[in-house]
Amino acid sequence: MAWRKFVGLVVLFLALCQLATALAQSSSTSYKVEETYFGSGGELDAQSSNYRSKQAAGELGVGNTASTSYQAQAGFNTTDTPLLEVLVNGGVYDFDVLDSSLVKTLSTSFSVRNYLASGYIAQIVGTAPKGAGGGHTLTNMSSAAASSPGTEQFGINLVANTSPSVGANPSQVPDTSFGFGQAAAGYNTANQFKYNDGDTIAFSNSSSGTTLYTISAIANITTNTQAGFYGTSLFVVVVPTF
Amino acid sequence: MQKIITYIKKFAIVAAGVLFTSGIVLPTLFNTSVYAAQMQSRSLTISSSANGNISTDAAGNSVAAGQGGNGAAAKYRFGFIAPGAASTLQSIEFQFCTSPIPGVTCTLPTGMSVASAVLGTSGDAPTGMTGWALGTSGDAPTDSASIDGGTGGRIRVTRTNGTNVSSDTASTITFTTIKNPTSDNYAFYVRILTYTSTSYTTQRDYGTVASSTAQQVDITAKVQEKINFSVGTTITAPTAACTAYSDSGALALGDTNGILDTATAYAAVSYFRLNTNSVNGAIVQYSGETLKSGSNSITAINGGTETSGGTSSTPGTAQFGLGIDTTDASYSFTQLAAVANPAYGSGGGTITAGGTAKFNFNPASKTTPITLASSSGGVTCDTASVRYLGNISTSVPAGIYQTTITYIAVPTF
Repeated sequence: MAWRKFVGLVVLFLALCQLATALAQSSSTSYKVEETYFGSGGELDAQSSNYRSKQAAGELGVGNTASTSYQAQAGFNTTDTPLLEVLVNGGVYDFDVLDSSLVKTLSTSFSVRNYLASGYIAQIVGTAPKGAGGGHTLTNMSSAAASSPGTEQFGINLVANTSPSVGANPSQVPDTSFGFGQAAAGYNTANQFKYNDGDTIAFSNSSSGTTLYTISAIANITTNTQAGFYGTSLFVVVVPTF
Repeated sequence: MQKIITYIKKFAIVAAGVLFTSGIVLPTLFNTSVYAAQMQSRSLTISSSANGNISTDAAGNSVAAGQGGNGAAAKYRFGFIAPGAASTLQSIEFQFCTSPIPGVTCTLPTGMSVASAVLGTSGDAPTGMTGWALGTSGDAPTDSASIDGGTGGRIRVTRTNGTNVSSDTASTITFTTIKNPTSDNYAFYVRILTYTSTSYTTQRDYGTVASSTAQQVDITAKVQEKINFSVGTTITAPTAACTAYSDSGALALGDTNGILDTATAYAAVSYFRLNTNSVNGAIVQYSGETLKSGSNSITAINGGTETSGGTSSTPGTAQFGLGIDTTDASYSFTQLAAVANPAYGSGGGTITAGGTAKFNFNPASKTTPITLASSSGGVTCDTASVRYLGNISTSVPAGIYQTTITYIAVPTF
């Protein structure tokens, strides 16, 4: 009888080990847990010839949790597929007629969501507005500075400003439990604007739900900024690190 | 009861055996996957998130390959840490797919093309692990590689290096002239597979990176053609706004009562101020007659014939001339320059007989304006001090002599 109990316990142990192997996909320098669950029930990849699903019951908590040394996606219905979603509210934005005595502003937005990454950076690429036919290029604000009408300036930031009144702070969707993106230094101070082609303007140090960023741009000219039609195409390049 | 317990125990043992066999033994026997380590800190930095149809900016200017606004010829820089192991790493395959998962059917992202990819050199040369060469012939970059049952893009690089990559090695490899997918806000993936040999056979490491195109933000603006030109006789500071002169412009030549004298030369100064954003420069001209009183006149200096160096003052001789006085405190030419020949920029200096100040005046300017100063581009805020000379001879009839000199600024945009 004793050997039967022993065999039974060994088999039970091995079976539990196999169960754990099936559900955990983990590693890091010390360990990593990509997909696992704790709760009263659930199935990461239930399927038959007719359906395939993820199932959850008794889910205790959802969302990303992180500290300086770890991060995890909580919830049964997390996915093991890397994700990058970049949505730029593109189109044509016109400063209209620039004036040496008055700052001109405009704003647009973009959002970033990524998953199973250790974070991302968002870069802005493109020149400052340039005269048609390869003419004069408005001076970009290579370091953060305030708007100064009468000085040639082109700059942006990603926060709410009062002088001039434009922009909004980054917002997490649906809330700060899920999104972690933030504006980068140089672009994160109210009423201070900057623009350098290729600069990092936003980042997240972990996988993040949707973060909505508002890009506010300003343009100032001098009394002898060359006349003409100016234009540029700016692009947001998001680089996730997996 | 004892029988039931026995059956339960037997069933448990059999069930456990089945579980053991199916869960441990079979997977071990039939697991055909090759061990491969996942690369860490994987990233893909693209030079442009513009879709592959874009290579010009909002103003119609062409954007060079590898720059932010060119999605038709973008630069892809892969960064990763190759895990250290007791094996070589001699080839890498980059698979461009709509799905990140190795083993899942790979489909080339819509509109994307890697067939013209070139391995970066100079500042874009590989770092970390080096010595790479772009695959050729059957390993050349292609948009139609058979990958996991699908057709995707593929770039292969190889190097002959028999040394094990024994420690984690951060590396970058850059490719240029890749055409991005042609849709906006379109995520795509690149699967990276490394191999121990140059034949792409024994897989060593793997990892997937993601990137995305994005809709472009076109910013436009207009700067209007502009000229601020004013003339006055009362000194005012230009200020940052290049404040215009606003006085009447009246000027009296002579003593305190405006009386000329045969023994004394007299001069007076007026000013003009110019600001223009003309691209191709501006000229300032004068137009007018010499001093006149009815039918009488004071002869223009040198008889109205301009000279290259200008003419000095000669008290006792009828002379009316003008010249820009560069020594005047209010003079501030930065972009403008006085015409040198005939000299219109030598009005500063003494006006005694044979003095250093030089003047010219052309009476024909009344109908054909004479250029006094010019610039090759825009003018921020330049102020000119124009000095007028008045001398009379003993034969000049008495009277009130007057003239109106009109200044004209002509910017070329």
